[in-house]
Amino acid sequence: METVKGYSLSQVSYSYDQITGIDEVSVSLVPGKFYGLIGPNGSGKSTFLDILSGYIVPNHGTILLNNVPLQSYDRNELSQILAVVPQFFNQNFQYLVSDVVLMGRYPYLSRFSPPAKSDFEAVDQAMEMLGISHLRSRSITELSGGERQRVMIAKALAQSGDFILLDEVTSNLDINHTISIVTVLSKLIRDKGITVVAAVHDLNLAAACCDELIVLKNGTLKNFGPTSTLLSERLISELYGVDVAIISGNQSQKQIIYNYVRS
Amino acid sequence: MRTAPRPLYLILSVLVLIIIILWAARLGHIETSFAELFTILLYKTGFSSSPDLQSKLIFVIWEIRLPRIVCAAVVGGGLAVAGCVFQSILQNPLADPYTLGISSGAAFGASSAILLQLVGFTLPIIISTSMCAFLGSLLTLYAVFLLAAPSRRFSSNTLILSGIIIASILSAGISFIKFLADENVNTIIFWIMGSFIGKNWQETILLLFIVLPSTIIIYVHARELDIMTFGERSSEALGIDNKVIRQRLLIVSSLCTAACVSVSGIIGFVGLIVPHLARMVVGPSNNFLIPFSFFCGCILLLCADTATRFILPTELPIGVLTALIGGPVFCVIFRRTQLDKWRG
Repeated sequence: METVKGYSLSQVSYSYDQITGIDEVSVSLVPGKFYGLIGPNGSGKSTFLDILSGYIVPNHGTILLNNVPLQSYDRNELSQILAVVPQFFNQNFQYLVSDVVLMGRYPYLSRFSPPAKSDFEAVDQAMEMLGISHLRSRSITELSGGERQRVMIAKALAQSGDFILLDEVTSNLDINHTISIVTVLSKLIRDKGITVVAAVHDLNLAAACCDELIVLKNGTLKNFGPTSTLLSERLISELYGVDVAIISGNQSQKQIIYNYVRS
Repeated sequence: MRTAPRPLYLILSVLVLIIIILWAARLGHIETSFAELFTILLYKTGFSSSPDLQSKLIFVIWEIRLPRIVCAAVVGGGLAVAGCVFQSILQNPLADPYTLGISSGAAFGASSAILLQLVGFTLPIIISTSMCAFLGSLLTLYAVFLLAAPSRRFSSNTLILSGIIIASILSAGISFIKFLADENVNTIIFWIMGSFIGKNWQETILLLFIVLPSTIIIYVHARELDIMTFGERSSEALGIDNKVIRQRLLIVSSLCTAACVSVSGIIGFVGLIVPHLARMVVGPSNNFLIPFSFFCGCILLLCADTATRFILPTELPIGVLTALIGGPVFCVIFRRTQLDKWRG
């Protein structure tokens, strides 16, 4: 059989305490694309990402990653192909930025040997890409929210996986840093053929950088397809109950405009 | 504060520890010179023939002072290392080796044994007070694990709450035993307050056999401990099985704590403060923090014990001394870090 790269989900459901998190979702995600996960609050975006990362195991359905059931991966093996940047993370201790990014190399280190030169190179490269090289000897607790978020993304990049899952990681960032992060991710997708699945709240960001959209509502898959055809005034009004106008901006990029006053 | 290279601090702490051990061995009711001390050490380790010294002096140094010194140092080191583990695993800088109720379990076990002896029940010789304390803490750990078991990943809040619940039940039990002990309650109180009086080589070697391997196992997991402070999603994404590693390290560090507590009684604040002070010097990375905390814990508790033994006019229970000094020191650290947060 021909090997199918990427994710293949069929009839995946997950519920906890009789509350449905995800209901019968079937999608196939192919490598080399930027997938945007959109939907209102509580629509199951984070749960969906948890399922993709293997953090939670669905009650029903199957997930294949590169044609192998996700559950049958060895933890270490999985962490070499899949990186996750969670929405929230704890930090009570003053780790140095370079030490935090180096943690991304953990899947490649053997227990009794120190990190190799190649590990430090991967760390430097990741920090370079996100423009945080100058922060390397600062401690993570003294950074701003946006800087910390970039450190966590650098850590995920240092993991050198083929898949990166991001849970609303740009919500803490200003527009300049948001743009530089999506530029870095788009470049990695183009050059290395990695796959990015990102939950995004900012619809303009989704319109600008996502190749395809996964639209969730109340835990079910409402739509799935190319951003250019999917994103419409009607879809957004159905999803969020807000009337918007979509106009064509620079380079025929869709821009979503809405009023902050209910009509 | 991180100016010198971190390995230098490690070497420095070992040197300081050696100097303090030698210094403490000299002090006591019978003052000894360094020359005499070295002669005895060489004689006892088999490097020289019988020295020209009073056998009483040899006995005092080798059979009374040294085991007590080594015992105090190892308890300090063991508690400090266990403190590092609890703080990293529970993702809480305020956790200490007693957070899961291990100390209450030990106190309960010890006071039950003391009570049984008081009412004239002779326990088999192998079941000493220390042994009961050790068993008490292991049973406590088991109960805490049972209570926390439904939590899929052994989350820190569940563990902390389980520890608090079990510990409060046990403290009620301890109070009841104290009530039953009536006039003889002093023995129990004295045990709980902690002491290194009369520690012999046998106990000390037994302690070493638990504390040193635990410290090595913990040290080998330094990277996992670092990563786990970032939370469960982060660490699972890097391939760490939170539940397995948490369980393993909690069992090992609790064993270490239980061994320390059952030998010395409940000595507070060492396991809380030493990791904090060590972190201020070498940073939070566990591959330096664990060994450095170990040596600092040795130094701190040895100094405290020497103070109760030699400097203070009457022998104060060591648990009281560490709490009286450690508490205010912790207040200062806590206040300073809080102020830094606000200013930052």
